Amino acid sequence: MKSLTTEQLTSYLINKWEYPRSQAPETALRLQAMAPEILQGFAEWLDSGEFPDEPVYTSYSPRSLRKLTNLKPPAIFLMLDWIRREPQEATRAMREELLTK
Amino acid sequence: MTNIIHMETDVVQASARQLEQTAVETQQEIATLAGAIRSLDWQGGARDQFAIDFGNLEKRFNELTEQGTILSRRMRAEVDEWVAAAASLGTGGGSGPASQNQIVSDGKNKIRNEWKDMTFEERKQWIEDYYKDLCKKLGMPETDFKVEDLRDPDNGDYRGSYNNGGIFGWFRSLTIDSDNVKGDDPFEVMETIGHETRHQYQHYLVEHPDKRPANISEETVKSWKDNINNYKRAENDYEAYRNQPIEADARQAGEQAADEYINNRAKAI
Repeated sequence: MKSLTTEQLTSYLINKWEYPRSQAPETALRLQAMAPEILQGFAEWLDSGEFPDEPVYTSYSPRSLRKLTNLKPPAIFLMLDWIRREPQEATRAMREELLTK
Repeated sequence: MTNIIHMETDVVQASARQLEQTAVETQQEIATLAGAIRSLDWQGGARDQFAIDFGNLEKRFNELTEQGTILSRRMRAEVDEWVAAAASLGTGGGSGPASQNQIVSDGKNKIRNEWKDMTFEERKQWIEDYYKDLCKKLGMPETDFKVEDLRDPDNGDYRGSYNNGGIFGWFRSLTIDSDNVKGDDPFEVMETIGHETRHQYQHYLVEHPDKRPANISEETVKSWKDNINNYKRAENDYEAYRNQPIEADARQAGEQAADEYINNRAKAI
């Protein structure tokens, strides 16, 4: 992850995950600003393609969020970072629109 | 052993809220503590083992607080049932004079019971009337209102959509998912209609700035216009999706419209 610049991450979001060109740079910055342990999980996923079981916040991990939502992989890690920062607001928002299980 | 059953609904409701709040605060405390522990200036084998043990403890804490949240929801559901039962018996529930909460609860029960008794066709007519009433209040022309089976994503519930149409607004429509209309929660459907109607209103004001009421600023309409042209999709970044101007505004408007309707029905009881 340390080897990916904002520009490289932006290109990756556009080309691999079809993020809009107008939004990808901001998303790349938001990914880089995630908590170190979540960024580490994102780096693991980039390397292996496997969603890690750690870190866990409010009982959610990258792997469990992958199973429970239809978010794109980068958005899984952004979601977890939101849960870390604002657990009440984020989990309420998830229950309202994202989760049916 | 007595046959009398009794519940101080306000007190139990307050305890349920306290339980949920405590669970959330505990989660936040643990998250803060975990952050502090992970950034400790300490290296070595013992630290690694400690980090693993703490990670397990954090997980257990989070599972327990999640259970606390679920328990608080059960308490709230139980209170709702008691209030509904009391309302159907005409006792007013609780121990004191009818509170605003009680009045709203009565209004909700009335709507819920009516909804339960309606056929699907009657529900479709009821929600279309609700939509038309919202348009009238907003001073906006109605559009093609449809109830159709919207395809849900793999893990989600597609409740409704507003399509502003193509050039000249051809094929403009507002669609509500038929699955939810067949379901047993009229309030969720009302919120969805309010939410999608607000999206229609946002587009309407962007296209007709001369119709802007005094309580909506020019800047707000401009932010809607910019947002419509650069809409953030939920699957790309859910937090950004929720917080973008047109979604935050539609969410608030949808809830407000449903609350107003419930209050008015409650007053009419």
